[in-house]
Amino acid sequence: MTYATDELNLLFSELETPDIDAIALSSSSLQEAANLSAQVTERSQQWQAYLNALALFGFEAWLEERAPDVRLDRANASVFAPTQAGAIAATWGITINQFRVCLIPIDSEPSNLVSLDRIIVETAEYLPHFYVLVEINEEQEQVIIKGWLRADLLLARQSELRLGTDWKYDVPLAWFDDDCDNLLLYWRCASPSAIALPSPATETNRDRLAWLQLLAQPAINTAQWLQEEWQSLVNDLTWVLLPPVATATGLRSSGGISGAIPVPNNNRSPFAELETILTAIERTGIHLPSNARAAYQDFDLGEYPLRLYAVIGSELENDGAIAWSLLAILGKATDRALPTDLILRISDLTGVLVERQLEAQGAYLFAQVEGTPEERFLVTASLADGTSRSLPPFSFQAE
Amino acid sequence: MTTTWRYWQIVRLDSSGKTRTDTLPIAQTYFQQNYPQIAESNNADRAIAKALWQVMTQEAAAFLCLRCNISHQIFQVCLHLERQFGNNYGFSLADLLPYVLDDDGRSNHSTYQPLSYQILQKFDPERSSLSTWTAKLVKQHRELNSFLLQHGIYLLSDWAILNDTNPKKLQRVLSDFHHLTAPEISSAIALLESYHAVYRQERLRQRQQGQTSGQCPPPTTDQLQQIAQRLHPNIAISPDVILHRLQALAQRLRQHRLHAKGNFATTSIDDPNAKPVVEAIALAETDDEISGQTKFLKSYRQQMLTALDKAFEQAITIRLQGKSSKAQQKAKIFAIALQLFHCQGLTMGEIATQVGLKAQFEVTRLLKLKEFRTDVRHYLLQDLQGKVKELVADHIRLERLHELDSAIAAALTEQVDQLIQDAESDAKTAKSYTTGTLFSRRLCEYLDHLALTPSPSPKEGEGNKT
Repeated sequence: MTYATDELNLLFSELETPDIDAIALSSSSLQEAANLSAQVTERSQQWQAYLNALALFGFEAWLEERAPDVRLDRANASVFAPTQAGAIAATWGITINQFRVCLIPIDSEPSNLVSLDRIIVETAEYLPHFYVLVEINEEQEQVIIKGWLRADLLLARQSELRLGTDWKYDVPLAWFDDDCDNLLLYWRCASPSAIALPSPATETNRDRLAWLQLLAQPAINTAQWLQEEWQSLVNDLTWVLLPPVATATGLRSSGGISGAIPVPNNNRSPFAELETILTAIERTGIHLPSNARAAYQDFDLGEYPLRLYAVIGSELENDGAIAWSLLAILGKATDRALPTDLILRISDLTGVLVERQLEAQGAYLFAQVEGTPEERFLVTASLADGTSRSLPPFSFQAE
Repeated sequence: MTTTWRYWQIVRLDSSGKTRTDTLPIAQTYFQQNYPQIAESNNADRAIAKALWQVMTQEAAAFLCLRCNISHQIFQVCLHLERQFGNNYGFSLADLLPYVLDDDGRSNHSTYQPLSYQILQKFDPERSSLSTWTAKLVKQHRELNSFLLQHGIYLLSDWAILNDTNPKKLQRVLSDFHHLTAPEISSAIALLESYHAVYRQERLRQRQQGQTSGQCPPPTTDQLQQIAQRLHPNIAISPDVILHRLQALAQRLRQHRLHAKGNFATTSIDDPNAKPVVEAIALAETDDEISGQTKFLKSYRQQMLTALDKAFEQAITIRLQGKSSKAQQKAKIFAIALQLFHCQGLTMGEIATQVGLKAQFEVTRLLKLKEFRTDVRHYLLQDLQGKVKELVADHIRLERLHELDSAIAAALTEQVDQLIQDAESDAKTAKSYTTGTLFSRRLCEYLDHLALTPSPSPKEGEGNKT
């Protein structure tokens, strides 16, 4: 049988002929990027850290070839700090002839939208002079500088943009200029003061920067916990979802527990432990919605193994808006006693909302916050000596 | 006209690498005995292929028939590649065949297995036709891909496609383009996330050790099992099922990419017969613009001419940088190609022949004319900003910056003889560039002074002093 020309055309139209402006990534760049990603402790962030690093190295290679007269300063680039390297889909902290530049790694799938993390648009400390799109073809080991955009021009049109529940703005690709020669004009012949950007309100506070970033990380969508098909939806193996809890407002049967729930060393199931704790907590006046569901995660704070229960629920307000609540319960994961100086903190975009310190003879700490679906909460456990650990932020993205 | 001879005649390469067709009597006898009357149709072909495949382990002759058929298909695929890309990317059919047309029709293949064996081992007549399957495996062939890549053609693998997408994008593609239902989309997203968790870790690990380069390999059985485990912890799913689901997902993404590429603007390879763009006359639209440009040139004429030569030097020097021998090689060709283009008006194709490059796009990539002109303009502006007081203040006003940039661009593309009575255009210069733009004229004079010998040195020439 002969091939119809159509069939072969279709098969081989998938061959991608390279962009003339593609820059090859050296094997040392690829290796270094992978090594940087390995230093990121949060596994879910490692691939992003890798892409962010590739964006930097590819951009540097492009600049070196295209305009060696233009100096790039990468001393403070986010990819070299493991807590920042993969937190968001951007590489920041780079300056070129004193202009602040933020690289946005994108993939080669054609799209007319570019996702920008909220934090690099709304936060003065993170706002660059220029966003530069770097398309990464990982398999082909090359990058293409796809376009750029002045941040002040983006801000001028911010009202046209919609913020998604993933805390990213979808910016039309058409807003970006694909001619990098115009960008070089700025770097060579202008100075940063020519571009008016909002200045940070106060002096840059390191702590605030750190937690802003943590808040901007990929969040856990707790709305999924409330859905019926919870067994099939939980792909994140770090959180163990528990069957519906019995609350004061509505007794729910615990139902059949499918799949083994690991019984910890103290010979009490987490479920039983949580029920006991909740009974005590509700006596203090804390209210749990009737659809409340809980999950727990064990983690280490320094040398202390801890367990965090997160109880999520939602209710409809009088005006029809959804309000969701997060009750965080911090306790011990093993028989080892809790550190006496343990602190539980919940924060959001505005700052620390609530802080609790462990009481003498206390077995656990708890705090509850409430918010709208646009809000996110960050739970942090810390000790007096400054050791602290924040879990990925909680969000509530209902369908 | 019957084409059943494809089942007993094998296309192969002889010892000198030439293509030949051999008749295999065993195959011919078997085929003609078992399939005496064939209708020419795709259905008949699929049925025959399936029937032969079913008995091929018992019947050596049936196996041979399939191998013959495959050899013709491999040949056609390569022929197609040559016709589509051979010219522009500098390769021929003879270059391709040795990679994939490696079955000589003999029976003794204990040490080396030709591609046809692999094709038949993994062939499943329920999933596709033999011809489609063959084309697919040829297209995925590792060494062939390497060769194509060296010549500038590249195929994105399924595994890279899956790596490069994310749940948000997948969601969009599956709902907006493929119109799948919500449960279908959720399950696809779950599959993607499980794939990412397993496959990306391994990819990173390999990159750390500098182990991998090139194509993303298909996931191993072990990886597929891990993916299955993450997806459905309590149900046993065969790795093969996961593999097919992943491939189907990749296929959906491919279809979208193909469709989207047609809709979004793509960069195209230069027309091989491109003429020097810089010679195009920049006619002003209004009198104001003409007078504006004239004013600019008249005000800064002296500075501009001096600065222009310096800008040429800077822009060319940067191109000639590079310590590797490859970079040095490129540098030599660059200077010559630049001269050929601007001063002798050759096309990309003609330049390619002269400097010994195989394809026109290589010349385009080497010259990067637009970038060169831009760099010259920028250096010119930098120089003027440094010297001309009024321009220094403009450092902080961006609109003025753009205006200046445009004014300079226009000035450089103005036809010289329309605008400047230049004393240099008399017979004193060896070659007189009396027509053309200011840019090309000045550049040619500059290049002449560079003494373009086999080892050009930018320090040898000084620009024309006015």
